[in-house]
Amino acid sequence: MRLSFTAKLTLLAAFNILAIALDYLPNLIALTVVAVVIWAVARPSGDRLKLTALVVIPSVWSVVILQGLFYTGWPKTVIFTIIPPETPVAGWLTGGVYLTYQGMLYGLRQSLRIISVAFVGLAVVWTSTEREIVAELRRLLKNAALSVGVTISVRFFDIFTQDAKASMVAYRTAGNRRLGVGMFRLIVPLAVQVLRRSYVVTLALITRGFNPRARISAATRLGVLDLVVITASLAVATTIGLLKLLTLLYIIDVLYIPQLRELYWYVVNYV
Amino acid sequence: MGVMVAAIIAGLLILLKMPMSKPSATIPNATASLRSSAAAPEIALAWQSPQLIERHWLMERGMYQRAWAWDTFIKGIVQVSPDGKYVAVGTQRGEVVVFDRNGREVAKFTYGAGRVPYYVLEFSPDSKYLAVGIASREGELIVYDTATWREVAHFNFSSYLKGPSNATESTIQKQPWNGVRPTFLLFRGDVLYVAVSETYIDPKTQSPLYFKVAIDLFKLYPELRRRFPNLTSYIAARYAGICWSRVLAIDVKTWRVRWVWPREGPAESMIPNLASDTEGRYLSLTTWWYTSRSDPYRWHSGMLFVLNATSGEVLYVFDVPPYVPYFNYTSTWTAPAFTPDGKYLALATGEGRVFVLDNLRSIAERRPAVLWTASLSEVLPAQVLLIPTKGGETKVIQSYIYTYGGLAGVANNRIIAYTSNTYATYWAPGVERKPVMQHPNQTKLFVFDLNGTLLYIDKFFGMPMYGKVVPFATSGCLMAVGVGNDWVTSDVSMMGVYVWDVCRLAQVGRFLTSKYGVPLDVAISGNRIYVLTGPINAAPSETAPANIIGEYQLLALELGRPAG
Repeated sequence: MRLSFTAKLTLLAAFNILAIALDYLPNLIALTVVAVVIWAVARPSGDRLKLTALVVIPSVWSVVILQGLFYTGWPKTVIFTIIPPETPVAGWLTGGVYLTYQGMLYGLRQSLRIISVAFVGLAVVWTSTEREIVAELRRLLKNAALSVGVTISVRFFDIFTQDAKASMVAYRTAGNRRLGVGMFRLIVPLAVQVLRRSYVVTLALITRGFNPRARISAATRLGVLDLVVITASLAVATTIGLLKLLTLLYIIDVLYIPQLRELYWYVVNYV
Repeated sequence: MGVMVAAIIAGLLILLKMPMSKPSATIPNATASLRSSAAAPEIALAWQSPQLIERHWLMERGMYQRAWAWDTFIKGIVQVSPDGKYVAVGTQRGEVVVFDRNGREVAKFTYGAGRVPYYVLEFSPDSKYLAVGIASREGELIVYDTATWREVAHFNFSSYLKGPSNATESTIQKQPWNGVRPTFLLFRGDVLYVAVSETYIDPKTQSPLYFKVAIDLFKLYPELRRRFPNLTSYIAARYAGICWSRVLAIDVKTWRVRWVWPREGPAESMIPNLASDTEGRYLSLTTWWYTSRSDPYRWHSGMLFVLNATSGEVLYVFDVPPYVPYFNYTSTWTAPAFTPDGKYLALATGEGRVFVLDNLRSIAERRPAVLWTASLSEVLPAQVLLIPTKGGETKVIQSYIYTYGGLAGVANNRIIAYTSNTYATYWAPGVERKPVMQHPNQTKLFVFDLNGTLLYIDKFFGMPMYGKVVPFATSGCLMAVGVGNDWVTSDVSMMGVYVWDVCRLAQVGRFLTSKYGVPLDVAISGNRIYVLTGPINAAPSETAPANIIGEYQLLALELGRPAG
């Protein structure tokens, strides 16, 4: 039984809301586990496994480490001292450079938010055809040109990364070892390639009779599974999103509803 | 200009020549113990609860003790019912969890955002009721029937003070001490005495408002004039906050308020403690730190009031003079204690002085009749490290050190006092003042008889932890204390529970909790000792890699047969 693109899109939207709304670490981990299950259902091939690794590992690693190093919040618990404060010059200037628990935890949260949505997004893209995407986006956005634009950018993402890799190889072959001012020489051929391909795609669309003003097709018929997924996704995401919004208003002292104080407590501590 | 120079020189001369307020007895600064004994530990772990607050929740909020700091970063209380059937824990997250003797959870209560039951819990003497004090905008007390765990009474106290707190629910959830809160609960006979306090919170900044107050100590303590005959006034200025407090006597049968003290309106200081004699004839209370802005001579820190417990009428007041020139005000945090017959009343001040009063004579004469005093902590010259709290160069200065003091209680007609860690008398904004050496009388237990004879000294190795107001728990002759880190040396190796038999004058057991965390609070019933532990960072400083040990959990310890 296949899910319609409408259901998939709703699921993706729900994950976006939940990723922002959830703050309690076990909940974010649970959200990511669910996202991984959805991703696994799409049966990723070897190449797609690599692509996933390319999206997930740098996001988690870089965000966690960067936040661990440069977290500005308070309190801070030092896990590892990189530059002790007594180190000549660097230590005196910086007051010491540390990896902090709270920074890494904040980074872990942020990266879990990114990757949970990325896992579901990848699964949606892999299990949907361009036709489904265009049709649904046209229906939703009421704009054929924008729908085609979004679809093409999603579909061409793989090709763009291959182009980027090829440009990088060429850049390195030319004797450049580090990214720096010479980056311009890497970006220009990439941009030219993108423009050239866009021109070819546009010509192809026009010759195939693409008409942005054409009538929008009727909505897809939704099955029972679609309805279950849409209802559950919307219900969970809107409930948690609303609770979180109300709690945020309470925390910043904008709106306090005494009848909700038990709920605020649970949301602050467990959501 | 000339006047200023003359004033400075005069001030210096006064400081140099000024005799200290000498108590009638001074405990020698010595590390040797008097009849001390360190028995082999005889305490075993009976059971331990699961984590009551998850470690990552605490870590993220920085809620763990620091080995290098004196401050309390994490709170929690534990109280055992007099029949030993139940043990209740109040957490800073806002829950009350009740366990039975075997560690089975029998009840759990949550109170919602901005209502935190972290500060006072008390079972009635017949174990029929559990009273839970809640810090909130209103300041609440909820009483549960322990047979059904249903609520039988609910009080809001803000109307007895200055109305609901300016602190919002969000602020109180994070900093419950900024809410209106019961500060002490005491069941005696069929009356529940409740002390409640409200700190003034600036509505805009959501933090307490401080002001500078100058007091002529001669006006407040006329006896000081005799010590400084050449002075016409002794002006002492300091910063203080605004706080209102009251004491209520609640009838346990009807749950109605019998009387309120002061009748005319709230006391303009904080009341951190209450005490009564066995029969409930007298009720004592002290004021702590806060001083009135409008009438500092009427309401200030360091006052002892003894009331008629039946009517709330003031019987006498003891305004304890400060230990000048090192301290310009008196602070009394731990509760005074009556002997069971109400004949004597013992009191200990923060800078380590013990006073024993003839309570009955004081009542008859309507003024304090001090029988004897003892100083547990002579102020000593020493170097102090100044560490800027917001970063910057540290500096060493020459100042004075002392050890904080308190009263552990009265048991078997013996007065038991203690000293905490070493502190500096120097104060300046924005700096942590860390003594570079320990005071020789720090972290000790002192037992006196009613005549002031020192019977026993023993040493423990770390700061007593203030879960409840009094860090010591007493059951008959047994007295237990939860000991944390030594902030001067950043040492956590000896933190744990220390137990003494104050009748036999012996340490009967010690259970080190370095595996479980820092003891936040202790309760004792028979040979059962309950300890609430929390995580602690055992690293020597804030910039050293953290070494967090322990969990927020309850330990049930069993005391074996006391050593010979």
